[in-house]
Amino acid sequence: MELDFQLLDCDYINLGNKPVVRLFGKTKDGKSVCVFFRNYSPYFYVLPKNNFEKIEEMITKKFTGLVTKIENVQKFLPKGYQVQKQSILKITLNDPSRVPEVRDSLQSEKLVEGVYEADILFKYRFMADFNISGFNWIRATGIQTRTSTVKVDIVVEATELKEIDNFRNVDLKYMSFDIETISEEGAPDPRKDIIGMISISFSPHYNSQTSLVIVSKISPKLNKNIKVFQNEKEMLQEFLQILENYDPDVLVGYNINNFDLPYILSRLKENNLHQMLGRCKQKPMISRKIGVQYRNVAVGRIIVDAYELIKESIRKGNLRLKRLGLGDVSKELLNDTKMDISHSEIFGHWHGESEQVAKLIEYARKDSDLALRLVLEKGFLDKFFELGKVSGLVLQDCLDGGEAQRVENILLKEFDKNEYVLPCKPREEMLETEEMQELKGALVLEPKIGLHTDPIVYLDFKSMYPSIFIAYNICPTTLMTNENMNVESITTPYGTKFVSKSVKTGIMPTILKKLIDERDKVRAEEKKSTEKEVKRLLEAKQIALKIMTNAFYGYTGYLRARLYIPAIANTITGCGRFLINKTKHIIEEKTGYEVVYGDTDSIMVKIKTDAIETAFDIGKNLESLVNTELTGIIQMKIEKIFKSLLILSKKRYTGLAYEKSNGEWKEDLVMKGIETVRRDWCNAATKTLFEVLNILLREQNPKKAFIYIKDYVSKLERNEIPIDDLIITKSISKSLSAYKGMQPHVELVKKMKKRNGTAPGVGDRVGFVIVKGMQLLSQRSEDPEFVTANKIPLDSKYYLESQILPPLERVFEVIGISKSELMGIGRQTLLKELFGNNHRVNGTTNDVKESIDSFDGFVCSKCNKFYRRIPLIGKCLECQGEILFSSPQGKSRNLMAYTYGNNLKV
Amino acid sequence: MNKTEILNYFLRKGAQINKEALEELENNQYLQEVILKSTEMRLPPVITDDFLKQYKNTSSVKEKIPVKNLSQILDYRYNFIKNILINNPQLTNLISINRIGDKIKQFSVIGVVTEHNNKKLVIEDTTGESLFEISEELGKYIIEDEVIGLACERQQQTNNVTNIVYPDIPLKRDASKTKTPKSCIFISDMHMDSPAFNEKYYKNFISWLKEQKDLDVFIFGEVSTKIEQIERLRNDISQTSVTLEKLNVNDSVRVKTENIEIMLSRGWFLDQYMKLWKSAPDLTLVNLFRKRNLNPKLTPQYYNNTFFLDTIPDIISLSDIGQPAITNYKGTTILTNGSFLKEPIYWVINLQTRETFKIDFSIT
Repeated sequence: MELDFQLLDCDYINLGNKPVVRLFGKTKDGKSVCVFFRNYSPYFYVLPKNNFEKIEEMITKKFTGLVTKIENVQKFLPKGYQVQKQSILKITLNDPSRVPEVRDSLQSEKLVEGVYEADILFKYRFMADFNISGFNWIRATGIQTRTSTVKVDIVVEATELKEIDNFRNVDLKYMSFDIETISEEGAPDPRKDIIGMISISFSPHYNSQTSLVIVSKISPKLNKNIKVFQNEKEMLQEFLQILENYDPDVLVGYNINNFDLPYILSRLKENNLHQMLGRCKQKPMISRKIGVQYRNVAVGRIIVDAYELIKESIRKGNLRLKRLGLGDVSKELLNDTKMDISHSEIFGHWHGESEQVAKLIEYARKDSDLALRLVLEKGFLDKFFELGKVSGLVLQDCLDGGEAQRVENILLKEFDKNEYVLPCKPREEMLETEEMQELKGALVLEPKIGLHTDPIVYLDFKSMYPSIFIAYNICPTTLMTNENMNVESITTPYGTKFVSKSVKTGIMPTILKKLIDERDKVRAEEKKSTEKEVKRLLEAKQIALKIMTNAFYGYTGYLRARLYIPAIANTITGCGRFLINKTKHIIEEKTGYEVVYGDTDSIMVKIKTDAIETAFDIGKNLESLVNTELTGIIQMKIEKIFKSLLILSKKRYTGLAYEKSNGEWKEDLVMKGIETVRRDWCNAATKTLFEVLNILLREQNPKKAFIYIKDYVSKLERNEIPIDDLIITKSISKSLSAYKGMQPHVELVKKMKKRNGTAPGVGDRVGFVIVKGMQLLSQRSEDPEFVTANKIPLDSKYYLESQILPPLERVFEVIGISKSELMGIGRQTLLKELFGNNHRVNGTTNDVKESIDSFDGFVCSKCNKFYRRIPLIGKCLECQGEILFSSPQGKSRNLMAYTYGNNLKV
Repeated sequence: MNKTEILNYFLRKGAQINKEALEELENNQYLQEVILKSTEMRLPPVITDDFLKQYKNTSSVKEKIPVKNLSQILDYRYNFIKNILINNPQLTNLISINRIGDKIKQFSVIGVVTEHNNKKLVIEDTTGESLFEISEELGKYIIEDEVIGLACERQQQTNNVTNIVYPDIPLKRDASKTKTPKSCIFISDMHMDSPAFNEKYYKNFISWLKEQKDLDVFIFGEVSTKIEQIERLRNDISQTSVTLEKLNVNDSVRVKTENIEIMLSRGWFLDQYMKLWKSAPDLTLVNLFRKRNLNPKLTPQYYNNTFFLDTIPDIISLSDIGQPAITNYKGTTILTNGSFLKEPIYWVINLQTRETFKIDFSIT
């Protein structure tokens, strides 16, 4: 029979002293599949020291029965250009798990000069040899069979496997779950604290239900879609049963990797229940702690932790979120949120009235529902599906692994095809001795800091680093390590030499060219496509191709990579620096336009015109000029036009960008390196920053921005800002006694506990405001409700200096407004200056006048802290700075005053 | 006015001015106000610095005051009161502000009030600042910038004030008296240049003076902006047997008659405290007396130690209040005077016996 399926997972088991590869997948009609493949054995390569017999002798002596074959094969070694292949030994075994044993023996007896590919995972060795990629469609030829080892709809014993083309993905079954543990205090302990309930959400539905909550105690007055049990054990048995009946492909949850899954496994163990959450009936689910993270593997299924997907998106700059709690994330992304029960209230609800239990159940249901919606509605998995196809890794490894693993899986196939061997990964002890070579980064041109109100053309090099790989034929296999070698070569601007393409095209440039061409093709198809679903898939595919294309440069400079070659990484950045510099010179010398900034692979050119269209046309001319000059190396492309651009420093700018899409201009506020969301900021900080940037960029009106912020500061001082905007939130992540030092949110919880008897507990988020006072900041945190009820004044100074001003300071500084002016200290003549000129000589605000005629208070000469009355110690209480008179006229050490009747006299 | 404007002014009035006087006037705004704005002042043919001198006793030139001078004012107050409070038995377990912490549950501090509102109090000493919580009742009379002692309890990381200790004046203090028969009267707020000035009251006053013996007359507060009216007053008093002790007090001066120390003061500052505490002038003054400072709040316009009571006067007489009142607080006679415009009520104090009696020039 022939069976087509989309690959989800791959592993192996040992049956009768031989490995059997198992491919788990899903057919077009939604059936779960497991394909068995026998007669495939693991192998690796060694470079002998002209002592083939000795190796054979040692293996026969030590590993008879394990090593099944030793062959002499011809292969190229991986690093440095080689004219000829070398004779090396291919050692085949019958147990993948014992490969390290044989390898270590050969190395310890110093019989080999080098070992290759001895640490390739067996499943990837198999997939490479059969040219199978994770999440691609496969046609298995063989016979249908039965087995008690897996829980799937169809089992096939295959004799032949091949990848087939099918662009579309199968509809997967998603099961999201969330557990509620019952602990009286502190973090739940899986050894004693039971799971009170598990909420489960399904897509598609299960027995006509989209969700179900299973509860480990009998409780009356409950709604539908709830199942109650006598105890936790019965509830967990039901959970295992649902898992088997529904047979999901994907297990979803929010922070399930680090909490729910390890906890469930512990409770299953405590209740003497099996832990087979995957599709294998023999292998229990594995939960391993790697560093501070848990990695969970359920054979045949994919575990998707929405929390980790969100974190990754934030890390990559695709999402801007201040807080990562499920409630906050859902509010931002789904416009829906968790139900209002804090973590510390769960215990009370569980032991409370039936209405409270019912509320807790619905709270739990909402959690699993939101996690599922995040994954499905936001399409977080699309990119990973395509990454599996491009890199060849199975989906779980794409989700859990890094870029190096993806690159190496591609290299494994391509090296093998080109008869090269791959080195083993450097082992820990080797890393310690390996001298870390300095990697020189990209070139960042000195920016012209300030607010630019003329249009700026943003040009960037198309796939700069991959293009450099291709243009200079850069690859470990083409690197000339011997100066005396008489072959045609290319000397890069960095000085390294690689053999010419006419001699040998490198493997990396070949892979990269293929990826770039494929991406161009996909993007062209995406443009043409009208079907929404196809567009979505093509978009995911082009993103995956882009990720893989850009991963190669970093890989060569990654210390733990099999092909860590710092000379290559440095060559790439060296060429990049050369190209950016060259481009700058071409533009400035041949056109006279000014380059205001450039970073890595992009350059910004100021065009003196009022019209975006004109700027775009000029940008197009610049694009062709540069492309003509750099023909055959790299292509430059106009990316966007900034109508206005505020450059704060290297790597930090914001601008109002215009991009042409389908003949129409699309406007976008671009921010690079400017923090707009931070978890420890209150909303007011983000709001004011955005508003100021909007005024500066859209209206190009520094005066208005200044007035806006002065107005905001006044409101803040008059307590007219809504308290909600001033709330800072932080989570209680451990018991209060475990906190070392004082933290505002922890101190508040202690205060609330003493005051009310109850307070937020571990896992809860605490919102607090800072009130006026002279104690340490951490002691001045207060409950917003308490503050409102008791009309306690907030510490406007704290909000101003620690929340509102820090993100704004640099912005205002570059347009010539100092912090002291924002705070209302110092010169008042600024607005006049703003009318005339955006820029003012720095430091004028700090001028100290000889004397003034009146004063309204005192100010520190260093930190500009304002005092109504001179401090008792005669110096600034904050920084010990000198105290000066402060007045609208400025600052001075002296006051000129009439001293009628002893007035102002000591 | 600059030099040219001043020269022109005097030329129009038919007078000349010498170089020294011209420079003095240019640099002294107060003198400009007194002399140049007085339309009816009789001017000598040549204005000299001798002429200016008679008006200069209450004024001075514009001068450069460094920040450190103001710092010294505060420093003096703080240290003076601290030295009084440090021995007060109500302030047990006295510590510096930087030592406040959860380990010490009951403590006392001495410091300057930096902020006071909504039952919150910020106190500063030379080691730092701290926030205190205080009941409305206890904190009722606290004024910013005064130096006080606080007895506190530390609870839940909050400093709760349980008692306030003011420097006050010693409980047992004998009233100073002169050895020989002597009396004094404090006349203020005559406003002779005002259209509402009552000539009858004035005449009653002068008639009454003529009958007195061994009387010192202290005249202060607003007398007149017109030089001829001041001269008239001088002349009228010179024809009696009383002694004119002081004229034209701007803010506050201390004078001594034998062993009696008298503080004459303009009372414009009192209004703010009367409004704050909703109290009568005499009671307001008593409260301020306990603080050893009649005007503790420092403002950019008023930054001095004029009203600071480092030594305790035997008599304090205040003008500009318009509400005549008298009280005695721990041996000090405190007076607020009436006015020659509406209510010419004043007190005569027998300095030998320290007896007082009221005199009303509207009916005398």
